[in-house]
Amino acid sequence: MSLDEESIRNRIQRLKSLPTLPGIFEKITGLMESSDTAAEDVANLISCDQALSARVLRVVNSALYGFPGRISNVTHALIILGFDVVKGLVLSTSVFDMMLARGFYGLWEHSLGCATTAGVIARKTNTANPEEVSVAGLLHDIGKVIIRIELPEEASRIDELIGTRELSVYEAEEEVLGFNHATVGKWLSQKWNLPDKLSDPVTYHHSPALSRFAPRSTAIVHVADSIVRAMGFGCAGDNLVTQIDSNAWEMLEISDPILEEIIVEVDDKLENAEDFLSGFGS
Amino acid sequence: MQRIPIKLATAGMKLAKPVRNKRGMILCGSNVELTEEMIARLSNMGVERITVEGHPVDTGVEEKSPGQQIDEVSARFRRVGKDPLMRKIRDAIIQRLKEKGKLGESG
Repeated sequence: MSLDEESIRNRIQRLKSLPTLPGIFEKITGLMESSDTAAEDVANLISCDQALSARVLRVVNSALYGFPGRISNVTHALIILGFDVVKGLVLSTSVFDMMLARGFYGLWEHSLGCATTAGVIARKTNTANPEEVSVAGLLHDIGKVIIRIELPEEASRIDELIGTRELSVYEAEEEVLGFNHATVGKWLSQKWNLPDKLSDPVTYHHSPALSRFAPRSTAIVHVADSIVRAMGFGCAGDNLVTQIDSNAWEMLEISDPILEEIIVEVDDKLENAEDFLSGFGS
Repeated sequence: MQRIPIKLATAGMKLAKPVRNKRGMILCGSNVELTEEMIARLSNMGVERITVEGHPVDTGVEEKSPGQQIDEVSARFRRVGKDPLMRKIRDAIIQRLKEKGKLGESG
């Protein structure tokens, strides 16, 4: 049985906002679209929500990023990290709330693991804006969250197929729904007007060759997704390592010694993961 | 090495990894032998878990041996293990697990 893709798409795009997506997100998006907006305007808006700004700062200052203890206010975070990263973090905190509220702990850990791994790969391959790549890693499986919330019956069938036929979550979604979480991620990215550097990795993390606007970030999130699965941190929905696209791998020019360094650093960071997981989970 | 709740730490245990606070700042370096005072101080600073050498605490949860962990890694690669690139990644992860296993034994 395949659902009518158009009707699902409409259903997801009609959602005015995600169940707990704060109204502030749309206001931030509006402000950021205007070319004469200063960092302070956005910071003032975020600072109105004390819980939100505290959490953004906690994540920014956590071991997930490279500047522990240096960023003390939201304006500073915006200047150092850029609008897109902070916007991605605001969105991530909402999405993570949804995951935790519904007990999707495995997916939550997988997303954080992918963000951590993507950040390490970006730094080890001298990629510009590793924080941006890391946020893309945080959000890459957002489509899975929406499928589980909006289509619970289909999600159960997807889980069943993963268990009985050893399918990957991607394959099981295709079989049950006729589309997959990356497609849902694309619809959401369009709805939320995410910048290309975030929407491309979300949309193409299973087919990095199709990324036109952010091929490098997409390649990194694609590789990070596979490595974090390989290391067994969190649960992406199945326990299979995904095949890495050879062109994506070649683009990143990861030598054998660099690969070893990446594995060691990711393993270290994930072992201490609870130290930064708490930044999101409260 | 073993990651343990600080409540189970005792004087004489040796840190296998630096202790960091939630912001990632190092509070105490590795290779340091813990004293009662240090444990109390770290605990007061909000540290919840530390990584110590060896395997001093039976947490009641069955911990996987390096051998079991390696088998699990191989199982996760069951559909891609023939691809040379994926094999290289699998071997790098297994190598890491083996090295950690050795560190654990020496502690």
